[in-house]
Amino acid sequence: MSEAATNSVLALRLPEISPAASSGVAGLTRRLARGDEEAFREFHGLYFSRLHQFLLVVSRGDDAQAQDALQETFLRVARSARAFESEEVFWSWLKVVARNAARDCGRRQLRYFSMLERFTRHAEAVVPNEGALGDLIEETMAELEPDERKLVEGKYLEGDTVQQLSTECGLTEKAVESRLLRLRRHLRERILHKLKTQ
Amino acid sequence: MTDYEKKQLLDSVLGGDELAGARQASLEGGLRALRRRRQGRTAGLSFLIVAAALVLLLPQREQPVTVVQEQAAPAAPKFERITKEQLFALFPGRAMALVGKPGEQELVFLDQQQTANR
Repeated sequence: MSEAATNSVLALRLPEISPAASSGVAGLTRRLARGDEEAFREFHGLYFSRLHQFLLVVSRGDDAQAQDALQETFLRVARSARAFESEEVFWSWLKVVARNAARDCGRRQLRYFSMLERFTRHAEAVVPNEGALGDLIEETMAELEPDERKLVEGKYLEGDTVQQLSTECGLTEKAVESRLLRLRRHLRERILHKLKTQ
Repeated sequence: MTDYEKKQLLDSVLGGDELAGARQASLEGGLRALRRRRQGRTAGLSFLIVAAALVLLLPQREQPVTVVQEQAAPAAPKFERITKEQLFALFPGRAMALVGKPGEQELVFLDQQQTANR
């Protein structure tokens, strides 16, 4: 991954974390800095998805690399956590840690392509726009058939149960579960593909 | 679609069961690193305490050595204070006198002078 690409995605806007988490960030980071295991579990629960999504964009849709970088990010946070007074500053620090972890993992994984990278580094990389993932999910959802979109929205936005959805769609519960799984995989693959080709 | 709805969908689509292994591994790895950090900090603190204790204790250990040296030093001959009478009694039958200021007096044998004069 080029330096230009990793730097540019720093400006990326991802869905904000809940205000409750934001208000408690000072206490959480203080406990983290003291080495409190419960605080680390809490931090992991709050930031796992957000960091994963950030790293997916940084690694341009390479999920394996994003997951490696994610592991490394959590290790680095555990090793060097310190207290932060605001969520905004904490998230900025986390992004720097995650980006550096991604760069280091990328270096390890992509040593083979280092020469190629050297040749292409000077070229201006096309980087994801701000809010790329948010835009991508909206775009990919719009590509679904209306009944598929209704199923996904019903399950993941409206909180409908499989039983309710099966009644609404006139399908068996097993069929609903199967379609949901397939749709989720399809959406995931489309988003990762778009990140790669963007 | 609102930002919240996008987040909900992204969490569901990108963070499904496929991530369960990574979720568990990153949690366990992080906790291990956290424990190591805590242990390192404890070890560092223990080292500091031991070092401080050594710094405080070492001079005290040396002190008895100096005391021994001080005690060993005055191995010079012992003196016993005696009176004039005791001094004269040490030389019975001799003519003698104490000459000089108090504290700097010398014992002079008068009969020796006589002998010398003769």
